[in-house]
This record gives sequence, structure tokens and C-alpha cells, in this order.
Amino acid sequence: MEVRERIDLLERADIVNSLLARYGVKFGIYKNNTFHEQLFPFDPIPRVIGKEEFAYLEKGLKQRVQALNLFLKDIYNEKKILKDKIVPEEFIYASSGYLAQCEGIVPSKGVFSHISGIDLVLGKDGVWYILEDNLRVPSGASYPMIARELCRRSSPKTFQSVSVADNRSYAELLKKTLDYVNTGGLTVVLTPGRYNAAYFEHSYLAEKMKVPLVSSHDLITENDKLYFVDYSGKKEQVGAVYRRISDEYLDPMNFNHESVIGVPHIFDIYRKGNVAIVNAPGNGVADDKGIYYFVPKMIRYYLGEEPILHNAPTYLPYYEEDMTYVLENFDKLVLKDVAEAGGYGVVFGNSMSSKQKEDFLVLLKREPRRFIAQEVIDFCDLPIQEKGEQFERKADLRAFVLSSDEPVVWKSGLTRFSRNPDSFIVNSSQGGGFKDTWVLNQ
Amino acid sequence: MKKLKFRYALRIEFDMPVTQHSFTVRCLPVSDERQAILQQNIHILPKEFLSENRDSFGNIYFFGRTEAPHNLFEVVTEGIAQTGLAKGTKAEEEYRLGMFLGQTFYTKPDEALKAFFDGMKIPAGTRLQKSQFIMEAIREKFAYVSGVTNISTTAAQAWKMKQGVCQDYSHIMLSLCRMAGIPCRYVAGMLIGEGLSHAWVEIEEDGMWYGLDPTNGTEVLEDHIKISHGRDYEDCLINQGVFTGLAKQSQSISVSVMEEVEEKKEGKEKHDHINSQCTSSSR
Repeated sequence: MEVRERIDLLERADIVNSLLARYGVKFGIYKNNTFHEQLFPFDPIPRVIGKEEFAYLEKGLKQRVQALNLFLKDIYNEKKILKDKIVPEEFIYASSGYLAQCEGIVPSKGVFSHISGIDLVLGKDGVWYILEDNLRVPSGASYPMIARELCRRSSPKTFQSVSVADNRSYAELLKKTLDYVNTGGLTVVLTPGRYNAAYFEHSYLAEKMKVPLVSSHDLITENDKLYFVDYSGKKEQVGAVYRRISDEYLDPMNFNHESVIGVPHIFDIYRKGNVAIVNAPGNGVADDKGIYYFVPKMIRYYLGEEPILHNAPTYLPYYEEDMTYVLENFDKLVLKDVAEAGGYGVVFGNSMSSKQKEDFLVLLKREPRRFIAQEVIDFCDLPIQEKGEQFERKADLRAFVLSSDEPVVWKSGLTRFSRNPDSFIVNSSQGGGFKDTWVLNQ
Repeated sequence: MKKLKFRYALRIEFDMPVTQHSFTVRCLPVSDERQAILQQNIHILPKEFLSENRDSFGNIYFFGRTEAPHNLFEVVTEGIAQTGLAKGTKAEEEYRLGMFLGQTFYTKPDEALKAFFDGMKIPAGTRLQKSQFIMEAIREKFAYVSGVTNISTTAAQAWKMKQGVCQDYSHIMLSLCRMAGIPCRYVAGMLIGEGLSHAWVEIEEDGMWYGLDPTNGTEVLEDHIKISHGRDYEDCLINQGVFTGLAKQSQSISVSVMEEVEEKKEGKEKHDHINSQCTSSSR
């Protein structure tokens, strides 16, 4: 890239950020029981992934998502992987993402994880590691989409001289994925409403796909079918729901009875095969921290292939051999409680006081199944720009894999970085920012 | 073997009209190896947009929805079941039973229930023998008292009070059996002569499910009509609904299960005859 054009984009970062604010690219967070909206800071220096490197990631991601889809189908139906004792059944049934209500259901076209958000980091050793799989309601694709749109507008020259794969096709790809499983009727985006953290994304994706953005009270069930009732009272059958509501709140008649943002009986219509719910309910059993350990085994089991992409080295104290390793190398490991999420229940061995360590070891020995241990990965820093200066910060990448007749990896992704120089935590709710992800065409 | 005539009736009256009412009812017994449902019919009000399906456990359920304002929700199911055809019913393969081994919201033990479990000296034996031992141990400490617990009481909470009803007996038994590594499930159903619905548990042994009724300390043979099973009460909810409206609701449930006596005495013959005519005309 020419230096001049590069500077061109960097100089216009403020314009892009103010446009992002104007378009409402925000996310909501609840703090002390009140709702705040925050901007999601955009850094203009893109993460650049070369063509060959991306081809490698693409191959590995497709393989991983294919195996995860087969696993979900198997777990809720035949359970071959349990019968063959590849995965101990305790890890399935103790998972909070496992839903017995989904037993025996094969969704439309057999697809469970239509949109998979796979988080990766590039280690300092030059190896990409999978950090976690998000197969429930992964969010984030809209941010690089709109950032690219605004960058192209504010700095067209940059994109004339660099051959970057166009990422604005995401909406089309998503629509195709939804249409593939549609059982007959409209495709809609179901949002819990404007107080949801990702409401911007819901409205943006609906607009880009040109499909209705609906809330639960716009949908009704009648005669085994789901209908969208528009503002004029006109009723139209719905065949696919891209729901941005978690399983728990999706349907008060089948899951959390207290939910007021769900659609009563939508799950019963789904059970009858008369609507596709995207992603499928019950997927949480496959992106659980404990199950993560088994993904490489799943790839070998279902596909008969060696995993292309690696997990961060992970140990299950449930196995005696791993327990021994964990006890011997305690200080260099990070320990995670499989039942917790969102950064809770994560402790670094070397940061514990001797008393804390002692207590933790008692707990670990009593409930070995509850924990996983991982090597701490030293991942690469990426340059960011702040007040005209450049700094190095930790960053990860969320890649999006869309599964219809075959999996497709979106040629972009959400790169999140930590704004705190000492932190590994890139979550947007923790004040992190994002970058565009460029995949080069050549 | 017994022929049981059953009737389950649920009425919810609203003191002002409600709208947008969605409901699910799970109150129809299913034929299996132990019981054959010879005849039955179900009446649900409101009846527009009513659907039927089977849930993931194989239980029959009905679901529906109405927009129209109404003051009454009613479900009546009645029929004849032949029970005691076998002692147990066929179970799924061992590797599929895991879901009946994990504790749930209702069965999760607290320290007190764990301590009780640790103090029990369960003798070696089959799963069924161990479960019977557990059942007796509960019954020694726990008393049937209605009104002290409610539908959201957990096993741990009921155990603390040492009092409760069939739902509590069943949850406590499930909690203890699961601690002992015995696959077991919750059963909702009806019991001969009772005025309310009933609950008990089933224990898996050698590829078969066998019923034990901890409330009465008996095996489940011919006096029970099973409606549904699941991991706990939640999976077997007989009725649930959501609606729009500020109405107060009053609910009444009446259940009757009577043994159908074959025509023996001459004097009674005519009466029975009339009865059976009634049944057939309402079918």
C-alpha cells in the first residue's frame, strides 16, 4: 500500500467515527440497573490478512463448523458420539446449553449452526489458535460492514489502490443462508427491542437484507404456523426467523416462563417443522467451555480428518493424566469454570495467593469436571492509533462462518482490541474497540 | 389388571375478560406396556387454533391460542385405562439415560440433603432395591401435609420442612436416587380415588422403567394412570398459559379415577348400562 493512501485513511478516522456515531453504531450496556449506550470506538488501521493465510483459515474454519453441526445433530438424535464414548455424557447433560426440549428434533435441512462466530487469536509463535466457538447468537458482523462502507466513502482512494475483498456481501450471504432453510413464507429478523446491546446490528442487518425487523408481539401462531402481522393488520406466514433472542427467552411456553420478549409456541411450530429458527435452539451444548476441549476429537470422529486449526492447549482435570499435568504446572495455566461465562470464573494460576491456591485445589479435586485448564497464549499485538500516535494492543478476530448447503467463510471479520495496554480483554462491554478486517484478493 | 375410568377436569375462571391467551396442556395419558388407554376424549375451551403434538419425552400435549376476550378456560379429559398389563416399560439404551442422572432446578440438593444422603447406609443391590431403600428412608422422616409447599418448592426446601405433598416426595426421591447414580424420572398422573393429580417416580433397571410411589410407599402397579414423564415437575406441567389482562384467576381441579366393575349384580346392571351409554354418546 502506498504511504500516501494509507495516511489518507488514517487522517479521516475522526470523520468515520463521527459518522458511526451519527448512524447509531452503538451498543447498550446495563450498569447499576440503568441502560447506557456507548459508542464502539473504531480504529482505522485495518487488520490485514493475506490471501494465502486466509485460505488456510477458511479451510480450517469450514472443517470446524462442519464437525460442530454434525455434533449437534448427533447429540440431539442418535448420540453416536456418546455411545462410542468419545465425549463423556456428563459433559453434555451438565452443560447449561443442553436443552432436553430439543431432543429428537432435526431442524430444516439439518442445519443447526447457520451463523457461527469463531474467535481466534494469532499467537506470537505465528500460529492461529481457536479461543472459542459462538454458535448461539453471535454478533458483530455489522460493525466491520458499516465501517468499510464509511471508509470507502471517506477515503475512496485507499480502496482504488489496494485490492481488498469486498465485505459488503455479508447481507446477501446471510439472506441466502436464511432462505436455504426457510420452510415457506417470509424471512424476518426477531429482535428483543431497542434496549438490546446489539440493536443497531439487528436493524442494520434487516435493512440490508430487506426483510422485516420484528418484535415478539408482531408474530403470532395459528393452526401450526407462524405469522407476521404488520402495522396494517395484514397477516403473512413466516418460514424463517433470524432470532436475536437467546434460547432462554425465546418462548415462554417452552423455556423461561417469565419471558415477555418471546413468542409463545414458536418452538412448538418449529418442532412441527413449520418454521426455521436461526440459529437452532439448543446449540449452547456445542460451544460450552468444557465441550471446546472435544472439538478436535469431533473433527476426527465425524470427518475422519486431522484438525487444521488448533485449540489453545487445553487440559481436562476430569482425566487423571490431565489432572497430574495441571497440578504440576499450575502457575503457568489459566483455569476456567465451565459453568461461568463472560469473563467470570477465569483465574490465572500465578496470580493466586497461597491461601487462594490451596482453596482452589480443594475445589478442583472435589469437582474436577467443573474446570478446564489452558496454557496462557501470548497473542500478537496490533498497532492502533490514538491522538495521532501509534500503540500496540492485544487483539482477537471473530470470523463468521455461514452454513447453508455448504459452509462459507465471510471474507472479513470483527477484529476487537483492548484499549488498556495491560489487558488481554477485548470485549466491547469492557471498553474495547474494533477494527476492520481486510482480506486481500492477491 | 384393572379397568379404570378416569376424569380430569381443570377450570380457570377470570374475574374479567382476558385476551391473547396462549396455553399448553399435557393431561392425556399415553398407552404403553403397563397401561392401555381403551377410550378417551378431550375437551378444551377456547378451542380455536388447537394443535396436538408429542414432546421430546413422548408425552402428548395440546397447545392453542385465542385472541378473543374470554372469562373461562376449561380442560376436561376422560376415558378408560387398563392398567397393570406389565410391571415396567421399556427404557432407552444406557448411553441415552444421562439426562435422568443430572440434578435439575427442583432436585438439586443442598448441604442438608447431601448430608442425609451421606448418612444413609444404602445396602448393595439392584437399582430398584436401592431405590426402595431410599423411598423408605424418606418416608421415615417426611410427612404428607398439604398447604406447606407450593408448585415452585424445590426438594431441598421441602426437605428442610420435612413436610409436603406428592410433588415434594418425588423431587426428594429423585434428588437422592440421582446422588446414588440411579437414572430416574418424574411422573405426573392420576391415582385411584384421589381428588387431585398425583406424582411419583420411575427408576431404570436393566432396560426397564419401574414406578415407585414415595407418597404411598408402594410400587406402581394397577392403581396409577400415568400421564407424562420428564426430568422433574417442570417437564410434566399439566397446564400453563400466558394471557393479556389484569384479571384475577381462580382455578379448580377435580380428578376422579374409579375401578370399572364388571356387571355382576342385577340391580346395578341398568345403572351401568346408562353410564356406558353416556360415555359413548360423548365420544
